[in-house]
Amino acid sequence: MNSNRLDDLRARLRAPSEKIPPSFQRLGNALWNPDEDATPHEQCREALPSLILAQMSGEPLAEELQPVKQHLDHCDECGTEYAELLDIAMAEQRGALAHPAKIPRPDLAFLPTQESSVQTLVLAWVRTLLSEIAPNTLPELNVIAAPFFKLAEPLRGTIVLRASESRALYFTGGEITPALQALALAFATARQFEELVTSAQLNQWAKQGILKHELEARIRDVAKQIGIEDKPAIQLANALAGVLAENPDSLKRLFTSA
Amino acid sequence: MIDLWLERCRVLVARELKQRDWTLAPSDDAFLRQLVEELQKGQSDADALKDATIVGGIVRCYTRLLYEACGEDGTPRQRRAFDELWNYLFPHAIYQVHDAALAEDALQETLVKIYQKRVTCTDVGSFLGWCDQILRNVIRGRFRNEYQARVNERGGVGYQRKEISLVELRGAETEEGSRAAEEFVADLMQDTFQDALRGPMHDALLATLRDCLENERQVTVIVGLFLHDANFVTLAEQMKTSPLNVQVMKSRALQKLRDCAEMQQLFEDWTV
Repeated sequence: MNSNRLDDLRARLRAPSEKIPPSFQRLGNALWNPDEDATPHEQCREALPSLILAQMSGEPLAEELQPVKQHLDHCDECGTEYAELLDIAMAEQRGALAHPAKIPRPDLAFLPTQESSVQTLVLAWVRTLLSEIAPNTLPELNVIAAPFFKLAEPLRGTIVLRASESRALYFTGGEITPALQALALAFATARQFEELVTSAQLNQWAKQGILKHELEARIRDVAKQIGIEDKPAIQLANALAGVLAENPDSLKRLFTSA
Repeated sequence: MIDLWLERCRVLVARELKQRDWTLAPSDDAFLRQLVEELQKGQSDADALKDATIVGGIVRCYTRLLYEACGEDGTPRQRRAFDELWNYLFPHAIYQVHDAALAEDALQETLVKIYQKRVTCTDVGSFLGWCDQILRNVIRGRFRNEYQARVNERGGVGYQRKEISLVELRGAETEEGSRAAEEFVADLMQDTFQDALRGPMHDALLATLRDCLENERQVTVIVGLFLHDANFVTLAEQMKTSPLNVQVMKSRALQKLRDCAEMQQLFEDWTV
């Protein structure tokens, strides 16, 4: 058939028609109108896990998966990926996968350690806090964070801020600046809360509508322990409690249980 | 009745979590409640749900927990989640590369990619399937070339996951397989032989398919997939073959039909 006739056939197949059943039309389009399929490869590939799960569970296909099926009608690349993934799913279902008696263990060194994840959390809290109460100190935070964590980490929650002491304060010119206070308070709070507060308690306080109040009281205690004076302690405790109460999920990440 | 159904779900949850060694679900009924909510979406008659569907719901609900745990940086839950992913995917890797050392290498690379790209997973309920995709692409991208090179060097038989040729397909056609294919087509025709107008069109198409294609199994695939909307699972099981073979047969059949003048004429006649 010459190309003009083929173009004509393609055009006829594209038009809705009662002359042939939809299933025949689907075959015709798979043969001669693959370009009519509007589903990009990427979208099809993203949908394959959902499609396979639905098929293996015997569920009816969701409407949004129908275009994916049409794409698979004609696309060999996506069709091969689909078939290979389905093959594994079917092998699993019929028990055909070999399950070695002893499986080697993975190397999970690529995962963040608890230390680094606490530091990330603490920094995020302090940035939010300082952007509210002292935004001009944010550049200083970027400078002091790493050396602070290096010195504070071994001490965990038991750090104490003393102006007269240690090279820890050297880089702030010997002063205990608001940025350092905020960082130290957030760090000590995180470390102490890991030990003293539970996810269940947080949920309970949130339910009772007293989450911020409870957090603030405890953070004020921490501020006192680490040597922050009363006035800044009250302000910082209030601000940090506000940050944590707004986002309790970030606080829950400290806890080791669900 | 509802209590019986709930009890059935509870039993299936306990069985699946234990068999798979999945430990991240909360120990109270919270997980069961999530499952019930999941299953009741769009289902009016819970009692009629098959076990396979309930298990699918369990997998979907647990997979969401797994996905969340994978993102809980620095926690024991995160480590446990990746451990469970590793245990789930390891047999899949072995199935694809047939070699424990290669499987371990591929899977290690896969875990890192899963961690890095986790947030790009669009359907969290199918996160495990998404992880399978990552594994499959790692194996295809890196190990297939390496492994094929090793096979070529050794001259031995190793990894055989490649396209099979039509000759191989023909050779693999046992008498039982051919008979099963013909019976399957006949059954399909019987099931959908509903209106007189379509009968002659079905006959004409079937005759043309048989003229244009090279074997009955290709006819079965085209009739099954397109005319009767059978899925790959059903077809592969009926034809006693793998989904990949079904895909190869479909692809070859469509290539043949595309260039077949008789097929073009048939559709032209129908769409005048």
